[in-house]
This record gives sequence, C-alpha cells and structure tokens, in this order.
Amino acid sequence: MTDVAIVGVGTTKYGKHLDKSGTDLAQMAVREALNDARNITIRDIEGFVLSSQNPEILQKQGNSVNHYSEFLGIGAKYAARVEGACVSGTMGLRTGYLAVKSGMVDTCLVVGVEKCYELPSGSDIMAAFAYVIDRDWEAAFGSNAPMGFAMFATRHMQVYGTTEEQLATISVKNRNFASKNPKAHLQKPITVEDVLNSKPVCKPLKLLDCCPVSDGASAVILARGDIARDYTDTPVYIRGIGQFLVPENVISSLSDLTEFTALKMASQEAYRQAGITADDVDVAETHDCFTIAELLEIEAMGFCEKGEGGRFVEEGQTDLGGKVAVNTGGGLLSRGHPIGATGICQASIITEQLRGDAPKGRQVDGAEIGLSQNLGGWGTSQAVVIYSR
Amino acid sequence: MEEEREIMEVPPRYPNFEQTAIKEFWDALENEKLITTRCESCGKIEFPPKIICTSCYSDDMEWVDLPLQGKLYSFAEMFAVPSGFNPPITVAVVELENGVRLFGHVINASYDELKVGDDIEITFEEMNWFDYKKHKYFVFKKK
Repeated sequence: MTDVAIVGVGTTKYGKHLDKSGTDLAQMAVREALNDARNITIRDIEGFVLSSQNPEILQKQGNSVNHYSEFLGIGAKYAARVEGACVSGTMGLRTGYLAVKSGMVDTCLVVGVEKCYELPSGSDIMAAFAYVIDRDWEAAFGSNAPMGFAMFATRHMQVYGTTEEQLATISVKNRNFASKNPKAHLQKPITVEDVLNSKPVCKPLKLLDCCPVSDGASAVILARGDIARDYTDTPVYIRGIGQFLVPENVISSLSDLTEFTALKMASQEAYRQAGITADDVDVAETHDCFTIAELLEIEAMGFCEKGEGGRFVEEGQTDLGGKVAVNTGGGLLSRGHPIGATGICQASIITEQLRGDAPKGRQVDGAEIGLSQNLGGWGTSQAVVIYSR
Repeated sequence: MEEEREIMEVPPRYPNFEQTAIKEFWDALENEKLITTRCESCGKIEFPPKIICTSCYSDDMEWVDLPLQGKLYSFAEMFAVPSGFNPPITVAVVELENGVRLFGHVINASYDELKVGDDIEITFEEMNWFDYKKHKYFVFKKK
C-alpha cells in the first residue's frame, strides 16, 4: 500500500473569535493549508473528512460534513464526519489517512473545527461539553472534565508522591512555548507560583492546571506518497497511527487511575508500525488538557518509567534540550483546545518541526521523528501518530 | 479559562425511573438497598447494572446485593459545579469489598481530610434529579 504524506497544513489562531463562525474559521485554516501546498486547488482534492465534536449542540447544526462542504467549496468522492469527543481530530486524521492509504483517493483534506464562543454564556458552553460524560451514572452527580482528571491526579500523587509543583512546571513550560506561538490562545508567561496560587477548579487541579475553552480550526492536506512532491518540497510522512479504545467510560469503571492504559496500547502499536521505540522520538505534541494528563502521557508512551513523570518534568527532560521536547506549540494548556481541531493542529505543529520551520525557542534542532497524541474520554480513547520526513 | 468561571448548567435530562429494564435498581435505592447485576453464566458482577453480560453476552442476569463497605480509591473536590449543586462538593471513586467500584459524593469530608485507602461506608441520601424530583442515591461516608 502507498505511503501517506502531509503536503499542506494550516491553522487559525486559537482563542475567542466572536466575529467568526465555525465555517469562517474552517475556511481560514483550509486557505492557509492550500497556500502551504503548491499545484493544488480546493477542486483538485478528492476526499474530505470533518472532525468536529459538537456542532449539533454548539451550533444546533446537524449534517455538518455537508454544511461545511458548501462553505469550503469542496466536492468529494469520499466524505466523513468523525466524532470521538476530544480525540475527534486524530480519529479524523486516521480516517483520511486510511482513505489515501487504501487507494480510495489520491488526496484528502482533513479539517478540524470547533466554535464554542457562540452560545450565550460560559455556562452554556460548559453544559455542551458535559454531554460527553456518561449522563446517568456520572454527569447526573455533577461530574465535569476537570473532575475526572483530578481523580487521576489525586491517586498519582498519593501512590507515587507526585507534587502540585511538579504538575505546575508542565503548565509553565507549555506557556513559555506558547509565548513564542502567535497562534496560541494564552501567550503571557507564567510562573510555578502563578499556577499554585490560581484558584481551585477541582482539587488538586487549579485554574492554570486546566486548558482554556477555545474557538479555532486546523487543516491538513494528505496525499499519496508517490505524488507528494508534486505538492511540496517537504512532505512529512505518516509512519504509523496507533489507536486504542478501552470498554470503560464511567470514571469508576476505569481499571487504573494512575495511568492511561489505552495509551500504552496505542503508542506501542504506533511504534511498531513505524519501526521505532520511544527513545527515537525527538518532538511530541501531547494532549495536555490538564497538567496531570501530560504527565500520564509521557509515562504511558515510555518516555519515562511509570511513577517517574513528576521527576522527569522537574528535571526539564520534556523541555528543549531534554530527552524529548513536549508540546512545543504550547499544548492544549496554552495553545487552546477547540475540541475537534486539536489533533489536526498537533499534526501541523509536528510538520512545522520536521520541516525545521518552527521559530527559535520552539524548534527542536535536527528533529527527525515526531509524535502526536490525542485522547478522548478519561484517556480511555487514545490515538498516537508517528511522523518523519 | 482565565476569565471568571461560571456555574455550569447541565442540560436537563428526563430519565424514566418507572419504565426501564433496571427498575429494580432504582426501586432498591428507594428502600436503601444497593444492588447490581451478576451474570449467572460466567459470574461477572458489574456496575452499572446491565441486561446482557458484557463478557459472555448471556442474558441470564440476576440481581445481587452490593456490600456497603469499601475503601477510598481516589477523590477530588469540585469548585466549579453544575446548577443544582452547592460547591464545593467532594466526590470519590470507592472500591467495595468485592472489587466493584462506584462513583459518588462524599458527604462528611473535604479533600484535605481524605487519603487513598480510607475506610468508607455507603449510605443513602435524597438527591435532586433532572426530573426535578428527589430520588434516593448512594453516598459515601468516611468512617
């Protein structure tokens, strides 16, 4: 089967876009992706995948793949809308990847978009997100996103001695990267004290342990490996995509709240497909919706031993110059998290890194192998992508 | 969010406590009993209760009592909560003596008063539901 390459990437600034609709944002991201590639117009692209978590509730808009196709001007002989909560983006990327890999299409546009700041209030937005949690057995008793990750944090702290200070260093590192990313939602540098002194959202997690709610869109153009150089001098190839979904959704049903079990499976599968190990990864974009998530991810993917994540981040091993640079785009914590767009944005940031195009202070010197990791649910639905030039 | 967090309004949902395949579960709670399903074919006990076993797919399911004692598996204290709840609320995952884990509210302790492994007793309390009625549900008490 053919290789699959990324030949164009585009992303809007993430943040509050009060004057833009979801389709406006998607157009902006796709325009940038088309300009990033060459010899290709929207009419040349054969496949279209839309990743969007919640247009039904946020916009009261169904049939979103057709709705977006009109505003993007894309006709497609292969089309799908993909939804899997926060991992929608990478599920969409994998759907597009399979369409090209199978030979069904030569090129495929994958667009991730979420437009949150459209509902009348912050409460309405949070309400829309609460739909992803099991309604009868968990959300009915007040559960929300910070709560599930706080449960992981508490147990990891009590079992392994991980500290709130160690978690805070993750937020500080990612904000530092975001301060050099003009497209990040939050760009003002912060300190460990700022994180520790921010107000509690769900103990032990505080406001600056949590990612913001963002509007935004990201797009990638995928092409068959043998024609990729028609569209760019710097194709970035997808070398493996591992995914794993465990049959656990209610927080009390998770087998182990000190690890992302599904991520161990997904990352091993991705490494196997790419023929690499964790040690080979130079740069990684991971799903740091909360600080504890990034810590669990570096452990599950084998960048450090289980239980050692706190010490690993404290030593700067996930910063530039460390063992593996993590979230050089600012992460969800600072770049923002327009749900369906996140996995696509991660692919665009890794593409930039492997082309050597990231700015000073974010570029990993000589980066050859990149990884993106995206999760849904309580880390119970995981996807990992490996990339190289 | 760096802006002020607002109270979260969870969208209404109208479960029918009467017309449901697991009516016995809700009826038991009203009588301060906690039950769940056990597969008579392979013996798997699971929570939430199910009409078909997720392991062997037998539909030969029996109701069994769950123990009312367990240990704290993990916990958190919520400051941003949906409407209908008064923050802060302490929530926990409790592992019962038979290994089944439950999610619910801790009614007599805050975050700083708890640690993993604490002994927990299950009791019952009336809670607000989205049908705007009160129904009994299980809650956790630190011993």
